[in-house]
Amino acid sequence: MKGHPIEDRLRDALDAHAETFSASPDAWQRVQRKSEVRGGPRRSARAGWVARHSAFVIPAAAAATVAALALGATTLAHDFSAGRSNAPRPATATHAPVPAKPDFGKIMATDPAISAIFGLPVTRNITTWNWIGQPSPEYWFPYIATRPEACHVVSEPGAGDSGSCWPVPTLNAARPAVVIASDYPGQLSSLTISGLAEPAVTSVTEILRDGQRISATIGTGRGFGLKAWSVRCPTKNGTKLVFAGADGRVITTLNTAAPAGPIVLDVPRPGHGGVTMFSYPASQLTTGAGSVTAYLIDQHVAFFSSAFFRGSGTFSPFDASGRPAVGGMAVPFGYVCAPGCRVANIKAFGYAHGDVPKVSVRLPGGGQVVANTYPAGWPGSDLRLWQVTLPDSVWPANVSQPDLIATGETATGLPIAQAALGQPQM
Amino acid sequence: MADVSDRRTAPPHAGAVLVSGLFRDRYPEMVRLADLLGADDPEDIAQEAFARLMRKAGTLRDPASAIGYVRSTVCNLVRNRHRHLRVVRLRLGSLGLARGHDEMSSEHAVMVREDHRQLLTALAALPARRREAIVLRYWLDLPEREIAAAMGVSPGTVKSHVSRGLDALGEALEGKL
Repeated sequence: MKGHPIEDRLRDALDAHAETFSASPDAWQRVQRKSEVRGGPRRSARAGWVARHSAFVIPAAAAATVAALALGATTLAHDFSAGRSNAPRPATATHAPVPAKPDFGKIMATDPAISAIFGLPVTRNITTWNWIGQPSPEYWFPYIATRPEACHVVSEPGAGDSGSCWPVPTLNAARPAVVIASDYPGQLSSLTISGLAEPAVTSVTEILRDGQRISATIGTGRGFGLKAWSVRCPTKNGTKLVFAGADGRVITTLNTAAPAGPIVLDVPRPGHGGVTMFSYPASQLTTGAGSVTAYLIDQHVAFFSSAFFRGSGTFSPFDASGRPAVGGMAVPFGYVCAPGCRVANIKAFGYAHGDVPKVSVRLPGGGQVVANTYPAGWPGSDLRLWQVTLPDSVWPANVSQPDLIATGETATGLPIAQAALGQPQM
Repeated sequence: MADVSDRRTAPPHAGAVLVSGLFRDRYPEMVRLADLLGADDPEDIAQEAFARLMRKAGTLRDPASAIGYVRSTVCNLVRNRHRHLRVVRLRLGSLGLARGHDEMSSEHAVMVREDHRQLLTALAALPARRREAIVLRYWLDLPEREIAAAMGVSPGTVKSHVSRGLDALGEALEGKL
């Protein structure tokens, strides 16, 4: 080998050695298992994906986060009535003392606190923990802006925790308060709404449609800057929130609509009552061949599938008790590269109310596909299910999520209800 | 809420598709990279790197940067695992050099293999950072800027590591030619 530059020899040696390796046949499955988030000792935290923040739900209990901002489910109505002393009298607050800080697990690793962490007791059992977090470069790509984020975790011992981090919003006279998220820390029937407000806000009162008033807890901590507030919401029909200053004057009001659309929920799979809707083969997108099965859980239709590696395999449940009368999602179960890679085997599926015999899905660029709904057969419920295969062309490689609208129709084709097909929140 | 909408990224499904495609195309390369860097379990290293990418899949804005992230993660993981080794040993086995009684088809093939063995043995004996720089430069043929990004150092430091690494290899092979 004399006379050859060492660099060429080095390349030859490295290339020759590299050829001796091949991948294990189950390497991809191992990657998927490794990528499941592992939480702290008290519970496992599972990362949900709702916009650009960390949302965690706890598999051990029915904990869920609805990110109101991302889903657009909250309508904000500004009633900037400064100068009028019409602030409602806050209801008597009977908040329990703040318990000891729990182990926040993964959310504290991805967005470690750069402010004090403070707790707001919402009820005797529920506490909302708040801090300003700095996205950790250990978890987030370097090119992601390093703006601080307002983080909160709603904690109910024995039930579960859920929370999220959002970029700290700019609050001013035009927008003195915002709703950040709605969380279900224990049961689908309970709801905690959380948000931020300008320092001038000293009280937040929730007014239900029946006139009942519930006082929110509001507070701040060193380095937090704004005020954080949280309130229990016993209804899913929407409420009004009144923000007032120390002198009692109303600073702003917000009207929250009922959280709609998919919510992140990780519940154990029921032992019975499932309706198998369709099966799918193994592909690069799935952990293996499987099927999608629907269950009715507390007026929510939940679709279970072992296709994806996260959590217990639950797709986001849909609140099927009210409007809209139809809902669902579009999910690809396949992946082809011939040439160029794109998703394939795209299924649109969902629920419909008892008076919706057909669902049509409008395709981008024109055209539609139609599915006949069928009874789910759940006792005491007239809910129906539907599914249809969409052409691969609805999901080009350069599109992250196609805009697909499902329309519930009468037998003669008259539209009854409409909903955008969501993306799975896993 | 303009702040949030500006930050909205691809839903998890698009990210998972990207990662799975990248895995299919580049996983063997990352396994080989981990091994050339001296990992005792190169597949585990490479799988962990892709798993970390998977966790961030929803935040991917520039898919072209994803492989750079995986590469950098492989380098970091190998380096971190080496730090935990209490005993530094020459891993001839992991370099696949313990071939036993191979069939030698020609004297030339024997000489080539011996040359490779000497070089790779010398490479394994380099400090981790120099080995990283050498492998990224001469196996992946990366430009200095990308090597610097993968190693988390400046391009000047890359030059220094490569230069000193080559010198060290040359000295190790001196007299064996």
